[in-house]
Amino acid sequence: MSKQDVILSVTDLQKYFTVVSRQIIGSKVTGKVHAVDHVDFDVYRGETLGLVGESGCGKTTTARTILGLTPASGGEVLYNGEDLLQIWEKGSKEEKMKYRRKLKLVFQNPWTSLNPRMPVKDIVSEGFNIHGLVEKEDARDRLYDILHEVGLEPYHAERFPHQFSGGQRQRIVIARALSVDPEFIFADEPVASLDVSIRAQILNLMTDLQAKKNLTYVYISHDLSSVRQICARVIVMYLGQMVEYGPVKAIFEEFQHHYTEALMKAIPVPDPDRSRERIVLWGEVPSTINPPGGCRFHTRCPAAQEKCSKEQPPFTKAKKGHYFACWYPVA
Amino acid sequence: MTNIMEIENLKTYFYTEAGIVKALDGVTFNIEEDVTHGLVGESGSGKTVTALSVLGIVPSPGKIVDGRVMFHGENLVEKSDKEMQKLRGNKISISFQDPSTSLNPVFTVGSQIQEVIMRHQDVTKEEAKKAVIEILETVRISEAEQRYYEYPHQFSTGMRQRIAIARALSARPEILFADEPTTALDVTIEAQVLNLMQELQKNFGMDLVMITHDMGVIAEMCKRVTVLYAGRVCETGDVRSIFHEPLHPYTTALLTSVPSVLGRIKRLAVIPGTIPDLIYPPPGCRFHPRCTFAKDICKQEMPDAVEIKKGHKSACIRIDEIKGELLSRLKQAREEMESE
Repeated sequence: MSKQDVILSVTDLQKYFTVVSRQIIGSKVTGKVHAVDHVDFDVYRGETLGLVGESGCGKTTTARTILGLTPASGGEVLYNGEDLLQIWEKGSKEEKMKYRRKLKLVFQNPWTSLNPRMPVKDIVSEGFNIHGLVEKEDARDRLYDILHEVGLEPYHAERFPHQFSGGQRQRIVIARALSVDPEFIFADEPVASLDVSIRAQILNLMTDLQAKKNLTYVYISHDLSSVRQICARVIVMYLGQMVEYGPVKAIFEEFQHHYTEALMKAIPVPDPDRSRERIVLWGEVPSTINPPGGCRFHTRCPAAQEKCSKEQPPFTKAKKGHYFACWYPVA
Repeated sequence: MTNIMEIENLKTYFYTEAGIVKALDGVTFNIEEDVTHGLVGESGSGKTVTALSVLGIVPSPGKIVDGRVMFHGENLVEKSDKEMQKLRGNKISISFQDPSTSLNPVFTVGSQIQEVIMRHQDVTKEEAKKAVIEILETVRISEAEQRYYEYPHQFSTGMRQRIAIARALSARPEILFADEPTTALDVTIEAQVLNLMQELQKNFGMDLVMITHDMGVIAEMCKRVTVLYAGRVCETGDVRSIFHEPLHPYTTALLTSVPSVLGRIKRLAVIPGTIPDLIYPPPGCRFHPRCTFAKDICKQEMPDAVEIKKGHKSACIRIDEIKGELLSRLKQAREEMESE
């Protein structure tokens, strides 16, 4: 893996939200939410990296922070060697535009992420018009090309979002992201809100587009089956921190962290003959306002010992490219 | 095996301004005693409407236009509202898909469960309250005595789902329809709910009908399965038979188009097109416009599910011809997963 070309390098990324409570006069900061807490990872050009974990673990916030949709509290993000966080903070308009074009986000819910009052042609062509990527007379050809790429027809261009099914809407969302020739796409639960028979269409479309355009994906999901299907590497997050990362097969079959084990053994397996021991984590996910000390998972971990509540485990190498943060690993 | 419930040719239509939506168009299957039954299908397939029809709570403008639901020798479709009220919650119960909307936000969870108990059992308020706290403890709500006084918004999603289940079970029904009890829950919370349902089923001795679109949930929880598509039954049979030797192209497509945690399929099978508009459903087999095996004959007759092998019915006219091909497609997908 190390020989591969690193396109995005995230180092010590932090994002805290302050909790403010109103006083009689003014207001007071009473705490902070540790949404993303010291996250480090690299993404290689052309790969699909999965970001998994329960809701509230910081998957989406990680993406939003990298994309500059919310300012980071600390850390460094290098995209092809350029410091993205600096650009979002004090770059010129041209610089910001350049990177907004290269990195795109595909949203979770196509029922809310499309403007109901814009026809598809405007939704899709807005991007390349703003970025000035085509001459006026070529705009229509470009629009049809993009629609064709995502499996829509030219006559769809005049229609409005409500005239489409969920799967088609998600195609429009993807078309909008592709319209500016991005290199890097964050896909935030792109199939979560779709019917099961439609999911395969969208997942296949994403795979095809990636091969054709050499796109790099960060695929954010809590649906582990789809992660198994399309990701090459996976990062498992818990309460704003990474707990384990590695090649997809290693994460699904040779997991070392007890949280990963619990996730993997919780998924219902579509095979009636395979009876697996289901690990049930009772208790709720702790608050990220005052996260537990030591290993964040120790309050729910079946193998927790005294050390776990005191010292935060460092990342340990399991094998090439596979790391975990646990004092008493599974195997 | 005796059947606890027999659903025959059930038709539920919705009379909307745009036209008549044939949500259920002749659904027939049996629910056996002491066997968890799975109802699988996508949205719009009629899973939920089946449950609502059985319970007699089809919302307006929907109406049951034909068919029978036999339960303890009686046809539920013919019963009056009053008679059904006595059965609902008491003999047959349902837990709805989304507990954040099915629990009333302005009443405490305690009072919402208590209401069910007091309606069906001749108990005093104190006794009912005790029973509520007991059932909250059974679904593992800690500090149940204090939480009795709390409102739905004070609970997490997973807890709300468990409370909804507690409410459905509070009058000890014989059959519980669980409508997508784990959809939209995180896997760890899903495991909690599934575990709990199995436990409750053992302790209460009730029959469970799981409504879901997740083949994984079916495989882990159910013994018998009915696959629905566009208001019709595709096939019904034993879970192992359905998973290892599906007798309908739609089931095979579902099994090979859905990613699995067991491994990567080289390329997911795609079911082309989308689910049909049920105001103008396609003639003949409802699945034929999306079926790769469809021939002219599929457009002509609307097939009913007939027994192909013992305990396994299929509604595919061409099943004898295509059985082999279906099996080899499934095998190929499974081999890809394993050889990865």
